[in-house]
Amino acid sequence: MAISGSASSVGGSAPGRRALGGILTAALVVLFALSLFVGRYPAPGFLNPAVLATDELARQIVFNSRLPRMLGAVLLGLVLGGAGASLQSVFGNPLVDAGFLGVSQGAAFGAALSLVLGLRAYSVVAALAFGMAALALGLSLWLSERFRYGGQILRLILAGLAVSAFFSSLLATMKYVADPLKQLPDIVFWTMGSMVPMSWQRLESAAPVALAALGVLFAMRWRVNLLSLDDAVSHSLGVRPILERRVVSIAAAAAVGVMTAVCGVVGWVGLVVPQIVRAIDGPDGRTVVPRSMLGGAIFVLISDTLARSVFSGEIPLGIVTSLFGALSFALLLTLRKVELAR
Amino acid sequence: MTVQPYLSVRDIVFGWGDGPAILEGVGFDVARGQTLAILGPNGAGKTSLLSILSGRIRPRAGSVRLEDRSLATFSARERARHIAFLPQLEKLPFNYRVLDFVLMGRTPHMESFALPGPDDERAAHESLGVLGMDSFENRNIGELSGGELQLVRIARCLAQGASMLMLDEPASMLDPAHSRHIADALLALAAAGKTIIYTTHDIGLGIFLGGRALILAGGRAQWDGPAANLCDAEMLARAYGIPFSVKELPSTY
Repeated sequence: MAISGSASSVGGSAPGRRALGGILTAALVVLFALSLFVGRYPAPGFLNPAVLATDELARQIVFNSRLPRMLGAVLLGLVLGGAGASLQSVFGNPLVDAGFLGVSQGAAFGAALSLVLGLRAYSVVAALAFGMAALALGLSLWLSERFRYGGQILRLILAGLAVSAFFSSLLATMKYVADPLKQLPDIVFWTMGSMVPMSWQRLESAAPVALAALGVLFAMRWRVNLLSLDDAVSHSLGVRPILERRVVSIAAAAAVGVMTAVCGVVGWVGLVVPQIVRAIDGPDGRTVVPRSMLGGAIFVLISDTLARSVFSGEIPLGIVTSLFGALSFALLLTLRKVELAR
Repeated sequence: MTVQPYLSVRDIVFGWGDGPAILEGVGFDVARGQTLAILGPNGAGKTSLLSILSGRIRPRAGSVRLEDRSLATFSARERARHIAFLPQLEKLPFNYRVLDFVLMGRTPHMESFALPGPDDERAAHESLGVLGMDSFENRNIGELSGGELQLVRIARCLAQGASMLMLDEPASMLDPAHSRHIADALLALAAAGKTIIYTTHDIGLGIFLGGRALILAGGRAQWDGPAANLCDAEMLARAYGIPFSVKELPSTY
């Protein structure tokens, strides 16, 4: 029953609680407006908005390339942050991330399979990626029911581990058999994540599922607190922990799966953003879930703006998020305690 | 004149998985407002019995009826408004603020997707007040001592508003002062009309809290009687199968 002590006793007064939510929302809006004009056209740096009136190419770049891409980045960040925060709560484990239960590795394998089979049309790659993510989730849930060891949480975590490892090995097989000149670079690029493929059309195809799942996670932001308690306690409170934990898992996996199908695997956001929010704000899902969504959106938006504008060539987004994610995680652990289960 | 029992337990048979039965036909009635101690050696099935009474696990055979209705027919929310169950230990993975932690007890009175409102906050605050813990509400549960945490966990049960509390080892592993504090709190709750069923190894606690006691051993209730009679060394020796003596020893009860 031991809890690791945390220095944070914030999360106190209601006005104080609201303040951070407002700051995050304002920061996201400002960053979004600024990022829209940051890039490498016509020269690296900031594009003068006045140019839009005269330059047709500038208008094309800003409204048909950057705008959908940035909206996609915001949506991806909302999904990764919200899914990570919710899953960490309902599994009572701050080290669970958005792609666990095999979702990320399943999607990566699906995309690689499609590329190796020569099915390069983006809709096919995305469909196979999402299909495999869904299959991985289904496998994890199915397997966890059949394990004869541990409680529900441990069984799901172990099943997710096994399914992730299984799909990683299939992904490695795809890389091994892929044509090293024609196919391998595509696979590698895809598994490193990128917002390059995002377009209005792809945004429209992914957004309904992602937004619906985000709605479920937002609606359950108090409920996830109850699911973080011992099952014996939540049962006594009239919660059906096994069913409700499954609802949260499926919503999170559907959102992550549908976004991963378009953008590839973008790591660390779902793990580290909820940690930061919890360290500042306390662990209450009412604040952690929505703020992790906003924080994730800010994180991915900044990372993607850097990914597309620092060098003349695109840096894969997953590299940037992993770099910042790992650094901030290490910093967080050094500066203040991350609360660990048991 | 017979009074309808609040909780009626008949012929409970239970074992884990395909294993041997650890409860082999346990039955008793509990009246509204009664305090019942369940004692017995380790492995006698005290915690299993409490889990069955709270509807968390189903027995192999036998029935549990609440207000003359099978407990299995209660919806989760209905059941939660009658019975609050507190396990001996619980995992606490996150460092919640005390008031938020107690607020979680309000769940059976809230819609599924609702957030707790001012009424719920008031109820949580009052529950902490009943246990003398209201000054702790802005602390975090990770900063509390074992005894303080136990009081906060009981406050969460009170916030649930259930008329029956089922507590697994509520005062074990605490220092004498905190054990006494918990015992006094339970006495006050019993005086306020709560039905309390608890398990304990502490015979002194059973005598102090009074009411009724049941000694579980060998799958059955070996003894069932007034808790005051737990002073009977011969009876204890028969029920536990080991020699007992009654001595004057230092005690906070």
